[in-house]
Amino acid sequence: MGKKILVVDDSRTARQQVISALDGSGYEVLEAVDGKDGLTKLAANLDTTLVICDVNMPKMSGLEMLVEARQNPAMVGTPFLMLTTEAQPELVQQARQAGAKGWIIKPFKPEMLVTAVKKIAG
Amino acid sequence: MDSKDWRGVGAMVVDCTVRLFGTFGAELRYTGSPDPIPAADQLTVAVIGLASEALRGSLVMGATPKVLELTHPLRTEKGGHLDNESLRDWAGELANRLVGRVKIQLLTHGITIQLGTPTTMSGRELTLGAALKNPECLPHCFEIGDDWLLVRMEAVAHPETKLSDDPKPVPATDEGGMLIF
Repeated sequence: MGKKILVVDDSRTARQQVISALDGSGYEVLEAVDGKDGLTKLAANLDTTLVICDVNMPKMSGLEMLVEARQNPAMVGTPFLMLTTEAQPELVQQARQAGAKGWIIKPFKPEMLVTAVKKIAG
Repeated sequence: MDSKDWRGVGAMVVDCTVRLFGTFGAELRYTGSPDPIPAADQLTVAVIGLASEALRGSLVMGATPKVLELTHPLRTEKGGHLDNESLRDWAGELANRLVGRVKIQLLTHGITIQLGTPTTMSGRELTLGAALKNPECLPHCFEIGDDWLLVRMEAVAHPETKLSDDPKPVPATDEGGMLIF
């Protein structure tokens, strides 16, 4: 089994795009449909190497998920890469201060996502 | 905002729509603001709310199935028609990306908005209502082949809201841009 990556996005198509981009890179990809689901999946997979996370989602946003994960000692070290249509500098800054490792603005080029993932997750 | 500003917002919506669909290889032809709003046998609609002290309202995007199928990023690999759930999912994501682009444009003109999450629906003989709270916010129609897409951003503005005449690029907002911290 490869390193685990958790993809959190409320759009199934967007999750499929990420999975398609990572196909063949040797990662095991898990999916979650919002921040709340993401925390549940992350709690059940504490060996996750990277969380790729949308920002605007129902129930719990990506930034809220990031902050909650940082407050949980079991998840505090899991890196987050935000993948979103949002580009508001204040939101980017919030994510950075909360400990996110990167921010990519959709639409993304598959090779760029793979480069970012390898840089952060190895 | 005066009529000139509202026309500016409308131009942003049109430009962002054409550019967004262009990233999927779909060349939309802008056909203006239809009256009456067209009807289709089958339509998929996505609605996203937007709010701030400066501006509040919603963006509505309605598309015929083929427009969504033509732009679906994974369809070219798999082929065939998309089911209703996939059409709604993709319509919601497209509307999200569209309003994200409009948000960036508004930011460069000094207006910040917060976005909601998309609500989507699909059905036969759906029509988008013509009753507008703000008559300055016109629906914009685009064609591709025999199919069409309609986008309307309807909003009301705070009396002191206006588009800056001197747009300033917002850092780190390029589409496809990547920041590694």
